[in-house]
Amino acid sequence: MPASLPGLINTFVLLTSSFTVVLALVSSRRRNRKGLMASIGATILLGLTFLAIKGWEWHHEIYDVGITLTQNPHGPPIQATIYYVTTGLHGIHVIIGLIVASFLFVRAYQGYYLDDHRPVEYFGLYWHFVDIVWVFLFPLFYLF
Amino acid sequence: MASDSLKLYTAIYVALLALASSKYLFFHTLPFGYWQAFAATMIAASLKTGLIVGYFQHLRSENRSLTWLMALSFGLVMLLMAAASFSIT
Repeated sequence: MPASLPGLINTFVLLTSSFTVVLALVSSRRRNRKGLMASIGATILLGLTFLAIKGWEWHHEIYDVGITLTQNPHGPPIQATIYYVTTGLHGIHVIIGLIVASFLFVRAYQGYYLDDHRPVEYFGLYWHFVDIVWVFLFPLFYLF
Repeated sequence: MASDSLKLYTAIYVALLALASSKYLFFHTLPFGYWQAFAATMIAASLKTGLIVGYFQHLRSENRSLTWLMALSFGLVMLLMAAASFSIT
């Protein structure tokens, strides 16, 4: 079981990114271009922070603790594979979200989404789904 | 839109932070037994999910039929998980 503190910090990071994505939708609805860019930008930065912490954790597990995808000297191998596959899939979804968010950021800079807020809204729905998955992953891997 | 209140969204955000912290506290600081902490954490997780789905994904301001659809999907997935768990044990 990985240490709880990085997991808790990541929970706060993702929750805050969900908040900034809501702020992006509010900015879009209020036709506030600067606010929209700031909130999408903040979401991207927070998402990158999440990935950085996750990367550090994986690095620590693999190189310091010695638990890899194929060997687990500290317990049953299935624990290691479940951890890496689940957090890995979640991480891939975060990466996909960040790619989409970057696209939205560029378009927001170009002045879009001030009349039609739907792309921002739909990205938000996806991002909140990623956050909800983490809501359950965090206790599962870090607390239970 | 009526649900565009920044105040409300901020309050939801603070509530989510508090619920996330509570899960950590259940297991690390408070004198809970393991299964008590497990139950409290699952309740906190469900509350968090309810807040995110209801307000951030604005299910509350959507047509009521969507809520029923989500609830049905969730129920069926739980049923599927229970059946799969039963069949592998």
